[in-house]
Amino acid sequence: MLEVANVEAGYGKIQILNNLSLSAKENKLTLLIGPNGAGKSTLLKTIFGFVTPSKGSIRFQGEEISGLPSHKLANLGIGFLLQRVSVFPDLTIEENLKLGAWSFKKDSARVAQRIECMYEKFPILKQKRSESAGLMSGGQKRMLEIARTLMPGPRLILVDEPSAGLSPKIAKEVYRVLHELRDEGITLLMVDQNIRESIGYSDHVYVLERGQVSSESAADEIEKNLKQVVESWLKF
Amino acid sequence: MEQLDKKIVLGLLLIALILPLFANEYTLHIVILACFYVILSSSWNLLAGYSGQVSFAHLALSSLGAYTSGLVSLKLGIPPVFSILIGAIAAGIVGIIIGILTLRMSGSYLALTTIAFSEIYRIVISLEYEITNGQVGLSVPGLFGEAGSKITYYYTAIALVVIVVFVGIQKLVQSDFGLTIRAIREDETAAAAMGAKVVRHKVIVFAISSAIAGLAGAFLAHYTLLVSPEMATITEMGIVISMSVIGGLGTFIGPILGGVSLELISEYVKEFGNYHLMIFGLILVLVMRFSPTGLAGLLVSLYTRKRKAEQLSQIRKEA
Amino acid sequence: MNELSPLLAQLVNGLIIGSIYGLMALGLTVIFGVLKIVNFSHGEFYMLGAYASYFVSQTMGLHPVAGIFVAILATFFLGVLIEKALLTPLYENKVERKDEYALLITFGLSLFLINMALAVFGPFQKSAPALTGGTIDLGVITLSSGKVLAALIAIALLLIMLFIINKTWLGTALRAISQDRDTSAIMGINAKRLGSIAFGLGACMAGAAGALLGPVFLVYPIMGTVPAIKSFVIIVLGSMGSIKGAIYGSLLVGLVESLGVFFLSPAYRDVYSFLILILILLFKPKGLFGGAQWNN
Repeated sequence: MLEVANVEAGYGKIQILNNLSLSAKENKLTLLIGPNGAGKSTLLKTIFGFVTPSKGSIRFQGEEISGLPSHKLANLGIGFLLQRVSVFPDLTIEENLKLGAWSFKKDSARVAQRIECMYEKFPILKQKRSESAGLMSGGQKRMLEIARTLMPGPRLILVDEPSAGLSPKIAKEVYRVLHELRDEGITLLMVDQNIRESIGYSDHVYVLERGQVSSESAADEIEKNLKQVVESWLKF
Repeated sequence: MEQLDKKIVLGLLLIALILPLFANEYTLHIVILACFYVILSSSWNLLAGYSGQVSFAHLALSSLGAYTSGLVSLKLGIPPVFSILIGAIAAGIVGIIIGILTLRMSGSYLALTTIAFSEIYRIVISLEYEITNGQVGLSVPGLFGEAGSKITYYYTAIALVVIVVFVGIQKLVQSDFGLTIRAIREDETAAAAMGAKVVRHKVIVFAISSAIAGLAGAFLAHYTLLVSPEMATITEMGIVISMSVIGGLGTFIGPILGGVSLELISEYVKEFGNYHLMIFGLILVLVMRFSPTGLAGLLVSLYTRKRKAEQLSQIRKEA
Repeated sequence: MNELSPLLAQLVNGLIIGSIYGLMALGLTVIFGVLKIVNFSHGEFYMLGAYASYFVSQTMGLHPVAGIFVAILATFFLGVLIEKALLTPLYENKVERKDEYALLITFGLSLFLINMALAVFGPFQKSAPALTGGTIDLGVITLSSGKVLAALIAIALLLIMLFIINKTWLGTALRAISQDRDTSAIMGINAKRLGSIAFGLGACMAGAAGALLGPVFLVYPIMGTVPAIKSFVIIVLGSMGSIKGAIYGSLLVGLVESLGVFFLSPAYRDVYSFLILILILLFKPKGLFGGAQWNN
């Protein structure tokens, strides 16, 4: 589904990703873990075109997407859930959802149908549809972000720290929803620090260190050696 | 860079020295005007380029110096040599006040406030004709008396002022003070955290650059023998901004290059009509868009490229 | 009653002109909201709008209302082109101090446009034909129908613009960009293209204001300077980037001006609002409400 090959990227003169290669398989939840500064978030930003790679290739469904401007990726069927709160605070919840349908805005019947579909999935959003999104609680904002990402029916979603800043109970709910999406056939590439929680929902795990993949394995395998992996980060 | 600065300044000084031997009065007059603009651009560059406070009140302060000096010499009979200094001090004091009042403003907000100040000032002096003689302007005594042609005196005087101002600004920007105001421009909070006295530095820069503007304005008044609201228009401000930016904002040599070259362009263009301001605006836009470091930046990159090529061929010869 | 009628006339006059300045200020707000820059050449779009409508109505002999439409179209396309040509480096991370870049390049543009107008149209003040003749007698005061029609058109244009901003896909996307540019890109919104359109919309509101006020005042190259500063006052007054604020701000400026003219001195008409600007920024250096949120 998504293949990253020999990518180098960074900010200005500081290079973060060094010859990094990995892939996300169709209908799987691929998890990226690693110590702070390993380049996990930078990788997601590079895939989505916010950071331009200086080298390497990024292919989505066989098509080269590196160097494409970010706004073109939504039309290709790629979604991105940011770590920070990213609802449009002064837009209503319904307007937020509508913008998720920007890529097919001319098809108003489909837009209405998709919004209705999201309301079914997340009833709380329907209740508050004409309120400003900025007034919702943290957990509700996250649900709105997920619903908005699902509006165009993406094939692949990049997820950055989905539980950051949320209470454990709501975090669990978020993981449950993400897991459901995978079962519905959406491919997920997720970065997470909350390893213990997220690893149970994942299929495949990459460990990133200093901008490179240091190891990869099936999720249940790494779960057994988790202690060792984390200890190895603490050494430097 | 500094070497290049020195070469250019020395070259210009040399031309200035031998100019009176060949040039006619009209040429000297143009050079005096160019000096006026170069002083204003250099002092505005100190404020906007080095300390990052893009003010639009510079010409208003220059005009304030001119009116103060003119009125003091007219009403109190003080000789222009001294009244010019009083004008400079008055502009410096108002500069301090504006500097303090606008301390917390940055970027566009400072620009908006100073535009408003400048326009209020211009409207007031245009309307209070009992004191300022309104739009017509105030006739003031000349620096070297009224009679006849004393243009070489004026030329020498402004050349002295230019030298003093240049040396002063040059010393200032190369000192610790200059380093601090540049640090404040880049990141005020970080500079403050590192112990820079942000308030004091910003206000002092405002005071110095305003006083220089006042000095230049007052000098021009006692040279043209007239003070009018014309000097405080946004158009005049535009000329000074164009000169600084086209020359290279935040560089010592920039405003000098910009001032001299734009003055030459406008003298050339005036033969065809009043198009010089349109051309200034166009070049200003193009420089900002394509070469934000201005003429100074272009020169430096040419110079270093040449040096590098020389060094390369030197190495090759040795090898 | 008769003693009060000059004051009343001043107030109505202030509100009429205020509504037209409001249109111009809303344009500045749209540009500030989406591009996060203050357009220092806003007054020159006003001036170009006035000239465009003057030439349509005077030289081509069409109805002045047609002139307004031409002015809107012309300034819209000019705005789009200028944004594409000059402001794109702002969001390609090629500029170090964005505020300063935008400030100096739009100021340079203003200098260029004013003096180009001087070279092309000459320095002479031209009087544009009124939108319509006659007067309206309200008993206490009499108003010229031309001015009233200009204010009505300004209000209609304001409402159209509010509709576009609040109810259309374009407007929703523009508000989204103003609140969170990166996220709008994730939605698939091309913020660069819409940025040009936002600048065009802002510019054409200034152009419309110029076309509407051209017949009230006179048409000449530096006619835009004072209205531009007044729009700055209005948007600072109504907190930068707030649409409602821009509309309230314009009414307030209109009121303050007419009161100042009546009670103090008509010669200082322009000074009153400039003073308000300075006073507000002294106490609230980032505008009345501080933020740059583009809310309603």
